[in-house]
This record gives sequence, C-alpha cells and structure tokens, in this order.
Amino acid sequence: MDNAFSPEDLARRRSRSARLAWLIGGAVLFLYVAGFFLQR
Amino acid sequence: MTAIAHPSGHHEEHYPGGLLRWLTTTNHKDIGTMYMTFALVMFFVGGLMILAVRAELFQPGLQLMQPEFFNQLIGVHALVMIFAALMPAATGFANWMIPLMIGAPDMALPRLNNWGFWLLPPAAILLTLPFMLALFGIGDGAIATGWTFYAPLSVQGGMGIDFAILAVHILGISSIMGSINIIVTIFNMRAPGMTMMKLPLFAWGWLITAFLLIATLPVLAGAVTMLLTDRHFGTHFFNAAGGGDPILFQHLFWFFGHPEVYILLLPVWGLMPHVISAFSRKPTYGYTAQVYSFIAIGLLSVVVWAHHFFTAGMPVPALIYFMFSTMSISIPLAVLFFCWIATMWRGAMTFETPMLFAVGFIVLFGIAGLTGLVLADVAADAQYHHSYFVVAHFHYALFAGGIMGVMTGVYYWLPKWTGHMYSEKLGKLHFWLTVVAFNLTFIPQFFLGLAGMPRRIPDYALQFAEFNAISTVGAFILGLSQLLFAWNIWACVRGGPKAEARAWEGADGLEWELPSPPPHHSWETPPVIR
Repeated sequence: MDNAFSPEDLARRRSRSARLAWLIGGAVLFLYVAGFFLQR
Repeated sequence: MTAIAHPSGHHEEHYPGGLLRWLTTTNHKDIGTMYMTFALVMFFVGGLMILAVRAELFQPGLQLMQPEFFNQLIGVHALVMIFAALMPAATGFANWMIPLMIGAPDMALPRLNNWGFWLLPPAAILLTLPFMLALFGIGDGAIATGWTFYAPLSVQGGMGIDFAILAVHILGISSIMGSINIIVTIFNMRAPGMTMMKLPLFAWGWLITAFLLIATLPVLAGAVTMLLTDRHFGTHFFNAAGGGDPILFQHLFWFFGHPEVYILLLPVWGLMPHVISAFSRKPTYGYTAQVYSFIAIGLLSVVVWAHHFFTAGMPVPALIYFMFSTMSISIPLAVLFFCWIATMWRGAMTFETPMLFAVGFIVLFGIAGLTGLVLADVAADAQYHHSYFVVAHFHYALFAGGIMGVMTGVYYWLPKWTGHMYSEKLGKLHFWLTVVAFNLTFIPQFFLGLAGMPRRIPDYALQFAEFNAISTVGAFILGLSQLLFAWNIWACVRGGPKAEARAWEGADGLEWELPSPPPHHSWETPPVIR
C-alpha cells in the first residue's frame, strides 16, 4: 500500500488499463463487423 | 465509508491557458466540465426544437410550419436530447465524480478521454447542419423519420438521414471510448482497500451502463451502416422489394434502443442513493440489493427489446415472452424504489434543492414505471401503441427520470465543483416550476393518447384541441423555467457563499474529504479506505 500511486504503480495500472481497453475495443469491433453478416 | 484524506502534494501546473487548455486538456475535471457544458447547451437546443413543435400543436390546423419540417424537428429533438444532452451529462458526472469517489488521481486513459469529448461537437453539427443547409436551398432538411430511423421510410428519405447516420456513428464511437475508459478506471484505479463491494453506488450504476453501451452500440452502428448501404450501395437488407425485411431493422434498432433507456437511467439511479442518504442523514439502505438490482436490470434490458413493436406482428409465443420478460424488470426496479424509500424512513430529512429533485424524481419516475407496465401488456399495447400515451410515458421516464435525475446530481455536487453554494431560493423555485409545468405538459398527453391521438402528427382532430393547448402552455413554462437552472449554475460558477469541503452535513463519501473545489490534481496520494 505504501507505494500506491507512485509513478511505477501508476504506470502499471495504466498499462493494465490500456491492455483491457484494447481487449474491449477489439470485442466491440468484432460485434460491429459481425453485424454485416446478419441474415434473415 | 470513511477515509483519511491526505493533502495533495504541490503539483506544478503545466497546462496552457485559454482555448488551448480546453482543446488539449486530459484532466478529468476539465473534461467533465466540458461534457456538462455541452450537455446544457444541447439541452436548450433540443428544447427550442420541441417548443416549436408544441407551438404548432397549440391549436388544430397548420399554423407555423409544413409537416416535413415538423417531422424533422421531432426526430432531431429526440436525437439531440438522448445523444447530445442526457448521455453527455451522465458522462460528465462520470468524469468529474468517479475518480474523486474511488480515490483515483484521474481516469485511467486521459488522452482517450479528451478524444471522446471532442468527437461530440462535430456530431452535434452534423445533426443540426441539414436545417441550416435547407435554409440556403441545399438538400431537403434534417432527418424526418423520428429518432428510430425506421425502414423503409429511412431508405427513401433525403440526405438528412445520411447526416444523422454519420452523426450517430461518431456519437457511438465517443460513447464507446468513454465507456471503455470508465470500465478500466473502475477496475484498475481504485484506491487501496476499496473493494468492488465498497464501490460507491454511482460508480456501480455507471459500470453497468458502460457494459450496456459496449454491448449494444455496435449493433446500432451495424444497423445504420446497413441502412446506409441500402440507401447508396444497392443492398436490400430492409427493402421488401429486394427480398429484405423492414422488421429486421426494428429488431436491430431496439436491441440497442431498449438498453439505451437504462443507459440513460442507470447513472441517475446510481447517484440517487448518495443524495437521499445525505439529506436523510442515514446510511444507504440495501447497498448489496441495489448493486444486484443494477446487474439484474442490465441483464434483463438486453432481452426485452421487441415490446417496442408488438403491433408489427410476431408469433404469439414471442409476444408472451417479451411481455413477461418486460414486466419482470419491475421486480429489481421495485427493489431500488424500496431501498430509496427505506433510506428516507425515519431519517432526519431536510429538503434542500437536491433532495426536492430526488423526491420529485421518485414520485414522477414511479408514474413512468406504472405506465410502462400498462404498455408492456400485449393486449393493452394494441390500443396505446404509437399514441400520445407512449409520448407521455417516455417523457416521465426520460425527463422526470433522466433529466430531473441529472438536475438532482448537479445541485448536489455543484458546491463541490465550483467551491460556491448556489442560490437555494432559485433552486427551489426552479424545482417547483419544473414539477408543475412538467405535469401540466404531460398529464394531458396521457388523456390524448387514451382518446386515440397518434404521435408525430402536425395536425389533429378538433376533439383533441383543449388538452393540446394545455400541454403547450405547460411546455413553454417548463422551457422558460430551465433558464433559472442555467442562471443559477452560472451565478454559482461566478461566485456566491463559500462551500465547505463537506458541503452537505449528511454527505458521505471520498469526494467530500477533498476541499471544494478540489485541487486540479487530486488523490495523488491515495486515501486510506477503512
């Protein structure tokens, strides 16, 4: 807890966030593209 | 929850001044302020549009405008209010409050945050530009299909539809970026010791909202892109003449459209317990029950979409399924209502403006819930569908539930944001004028709907004249009384009595541990959560 929000801790939290953001963004893009292949 | 606040370290300020500051800022408070300001401006733009509509409907006959322009005003009013006023207001709250409430120094992805906001103004211009172009004889005006883009009307309409499709894409991208940022911030930036079940309910409400946005906006984007290709690239997704199916569009649209209602309301349901608890001077009742209700409502919201078009025709088992699944949402919603009221029960209540708006919200949003149950009934819906009853119902949901909820939050946190107290007298006057004028506007519309007046028509039969006249008078009082809101905010930003760190005696939560206004960089040293 002592090193919480230290520059290293913040960098770690931000890179974890960026990885998760890309994962979610990828899923969104997949949903969007999948929409084009919808058939009746 | 209590916390020991550590004073923020002295941080050198390196941001530019003037316009460049706002263009380049990555600070969550600056971006929150921009979202809120944008939402307020667009609230008045959308409001002006609907006042023109109500002026036309003041009496039977065509007085002020042609039906085509009337249809455009209705559609753009809804798109502006939903995408450019209510959603940005909720995102503004999230930006301002989530880092302060979870003890984070900022949002996890600050540059994405800036980009998310600056996509909004071009989208708003795209939505409203066709009105201006039509004045100079270019094109045939804005989208005239209503906000739902229903095919085949939207396949055949003018270039305003293309503008709206592009605007919706941009607004959607902005919302998805905002949602991703909120999710990763809540997951990764919480102060040490803040477990998920210690997360403020406002953050919980937004977390569910963000997941809903991510799950449903791509479907809307896909649907309107299919519409675009139908219009310009020879496909026939929604064109029956080419083997397509217009009802498919309704399914795709409402797969997004129904969760959208909860997207607009969940942030408000999240902030409500904070306000009610503060002014009842009691801890929130049923924290865990509220969290699970949010999750249940989020899950149910994506499986009920077809109740928006019962009358379009579908198999009886589907009708029964969508009826009962829709009605089942009232169970977790009733849990929320119970928790709000139980929080007030035997509390030392006072009725400052935020509490007035909160109580007004509970009563009026309750009417939205009850009339929603009526509409969820397949047999009854055949009578009410596409009538003014529906218009009245969703304004109880989205004005009383959404916008009055936003006003609750604005009055509650304005002292924190500005460091000044707003005028309580003006706030209370604003509340009473809003509540009376709102009911004056929309109660007659229930009766109009029950009597058979269809929505989206510029002219009507003589028997509807009195209720329409009353509704228009109410709408103008409602619109004008919002000027008090804007003035009160403006005056509060400019000055006023100094607000203490804990502006409200009964307020609890990390945001109140910081001074009012909080320093530009807050929680650089994390708070300790006990």
